[in-house]
Amino acid sequence: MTPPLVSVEDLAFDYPTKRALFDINVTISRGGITALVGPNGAGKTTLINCLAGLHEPIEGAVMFDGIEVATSPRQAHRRMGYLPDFYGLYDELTVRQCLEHGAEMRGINRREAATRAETAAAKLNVADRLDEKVGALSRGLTQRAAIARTIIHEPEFLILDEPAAGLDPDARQQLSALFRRLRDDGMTLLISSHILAELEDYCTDMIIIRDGRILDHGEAATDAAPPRRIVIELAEPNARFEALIKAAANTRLVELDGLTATIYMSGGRIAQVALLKHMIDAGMPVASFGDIKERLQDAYQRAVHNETGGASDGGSDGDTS
Amino acid sequence: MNPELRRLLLIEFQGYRLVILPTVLAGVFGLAYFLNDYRFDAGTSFLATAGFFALVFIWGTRQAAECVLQEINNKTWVPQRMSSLSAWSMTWAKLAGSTAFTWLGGAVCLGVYAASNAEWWDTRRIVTSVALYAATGILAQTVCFLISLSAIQRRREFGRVHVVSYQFLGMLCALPPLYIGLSATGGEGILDVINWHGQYLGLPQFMAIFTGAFTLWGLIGVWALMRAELQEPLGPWLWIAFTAFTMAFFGGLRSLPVGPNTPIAFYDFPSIPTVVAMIGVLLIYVAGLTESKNRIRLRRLHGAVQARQWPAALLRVPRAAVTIVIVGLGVWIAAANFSDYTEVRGRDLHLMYAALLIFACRDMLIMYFVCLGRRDGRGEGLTLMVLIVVYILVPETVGIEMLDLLIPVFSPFGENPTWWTIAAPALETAGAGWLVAHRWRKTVGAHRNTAAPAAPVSNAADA
Repeated sequence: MTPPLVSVEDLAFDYPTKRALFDINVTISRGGITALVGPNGAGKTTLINCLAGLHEPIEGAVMFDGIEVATSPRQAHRRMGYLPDFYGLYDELTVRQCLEHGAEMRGINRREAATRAETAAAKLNVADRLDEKVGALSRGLTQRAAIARTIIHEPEFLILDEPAAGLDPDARQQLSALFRRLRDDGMTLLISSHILAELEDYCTDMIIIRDGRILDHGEAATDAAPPRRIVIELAEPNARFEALIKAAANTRLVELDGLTATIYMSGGRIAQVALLKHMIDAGMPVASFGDIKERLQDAYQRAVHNETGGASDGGSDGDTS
Repeated sequence: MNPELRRLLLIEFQGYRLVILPTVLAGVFGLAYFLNDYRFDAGTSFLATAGFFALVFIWGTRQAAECVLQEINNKTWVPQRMSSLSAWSMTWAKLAGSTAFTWLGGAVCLGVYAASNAEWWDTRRIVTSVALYAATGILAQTVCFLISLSAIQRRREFGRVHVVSYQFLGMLCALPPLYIGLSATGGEGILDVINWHGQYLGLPQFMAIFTGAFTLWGLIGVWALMRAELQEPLGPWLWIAFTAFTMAFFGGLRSLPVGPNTPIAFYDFPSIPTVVAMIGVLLIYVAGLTESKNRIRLRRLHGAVQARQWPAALLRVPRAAVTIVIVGLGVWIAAANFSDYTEVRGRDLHLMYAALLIFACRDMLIMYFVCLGRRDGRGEGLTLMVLIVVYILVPETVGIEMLDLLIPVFSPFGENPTWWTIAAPALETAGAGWLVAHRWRKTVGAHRNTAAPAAPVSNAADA
């Protein structure tokens, strides 16, 4: 089995006024795209700063391919790229100057830096803007230029903090395609966001963080991962519909909208068959009964629900905040 | 070429600036030249000096102070911290690049200054004066850069007031040597010759040594702080070396001065151990005031000590504590080797040196007590107010001048030092130490108890 690229062990981080991260234990597999999700103030950026070696944890360690990041940050930085939630480009310089500066700051010689700048710009579709000042670019273009600068030294591990914030839908779609391309090129990505809908397209793993603690960590969407999300539709209204579902074993009602109910169900296929039989025996006019692939939003809601005992139910607009 | 230097030059040397600065300088100096019947004289010399001050001492120090602060404010510092550039490359590139444009104008001003005085001064005096202006300009900018980098170890938000205060401190370090040096370049200054470590030096020469040495130390300090920003902190060794150097440097000043117009007061120059003790104690306060005292740093120190990880503990040990030890050692060596100076007017100064150090210990403990009481660890302002009350207001109010017994409680400078001169501040120090220990246990030692237990971690893939 391939060892993970990043391994976080018993990590804790304190700000002077409070503890921000509590005993974090997570791993990030090679070649995947991991979503780091959680509400605002959950500790996403703090965790990212620890992963990037910019914050020194008070306890625990971050291992990056065998390197302890806190003790050898510069060694780790050579193989990492980090795009903060602000882009960190110089408005007074042209895109080309910014990219070449970024490359040379990563130890790439001047001649090679010019070539890398053009390659990275082409990859991010900003080649036609190379000689424009950064300050004159739109937000979407600035963000693409910033990503180009972040990947110019071809890092193995790319960390992006809220990369899609403030982008229009077209730009977000292009960003999704870009992340998939980078993954296909062999890069491992960690993407922090509180907008789950956009992560769904490309994430392979998900880490949910809340109040400085990891609530859930695993594959982002898998058919084998119970509980299942099941949608039941009736042909006509029935007064006992809600009561019947609530009384059934291994189920939790998520949403009831007239004839349609959405539930979480554990216990596998046999339990699913038993529930369907029970409903038909009880005289429910079931028109359709099927499970649907769990979305990131659902997994997030489920994890938060487990943590808070159901207080977080509701709200499915794709935004965790 | 250093990429950071190139970036700064690209930003500094672009746009309207390239037109405005030469136009303004040519206009001002040209007009003065024409109005003075086509010659440079005292008037153009004054204008050139004023221009140099404005460009190098005001604009240049601001550029130096802001070169990293702007990066933090503009959110461009994180990518720089993750770069491969070494701390030294970053240091000189930032200092040279951010101030290069101001030096371009400054060089023009110095050229006009030299031309304006060429008719009356000999070449040596012109070269010495120009060199003094240039060297103190570099010193002022280096100190500003140093102070701003030191400040970012403690905070990450900066406004205009902070920058102006850093500029003020930079100029405070650079302008006295410039003034003293210039006043002696023509031989008409109040101080002409200085005895330093047994060598008789002209004041301009001594000021050149002073400026060169402390500019070099400033650059070393910037490099050390840059290493800390790049997550490669150094131990206290550089600070220890700086403390020892500074005490030795100023301890070498003797019989200041021997010029023909020397005021009589200067003959009564303090003894070597007294100078060493005064400079050393000043450094204790500088270390105490400038270093970060936030709880996280102290918890890391506490954890490292508990785990007996001495290299990690040494990285975080308070510089003020280290300085107290080094200064104590320095004063002891100075007193042992220059004992003929330790008695003045029948007073045994050994007791005064000891009292001075004990008072410094007490004050550092008071500072830590105040800072530990604040979540952000910033209690220096309040500490200074406490010290003003303790050193000035209370003695003035109770009138201790009338009571010899009370003087050692408030001041190390009693007229007749006795055992009580040491015992009184020692008791106060012990009390302050007890208070700090109590607060340390509550805020630093007990931090694990304040952490909530970790939440259970579920793993969707395993479930």
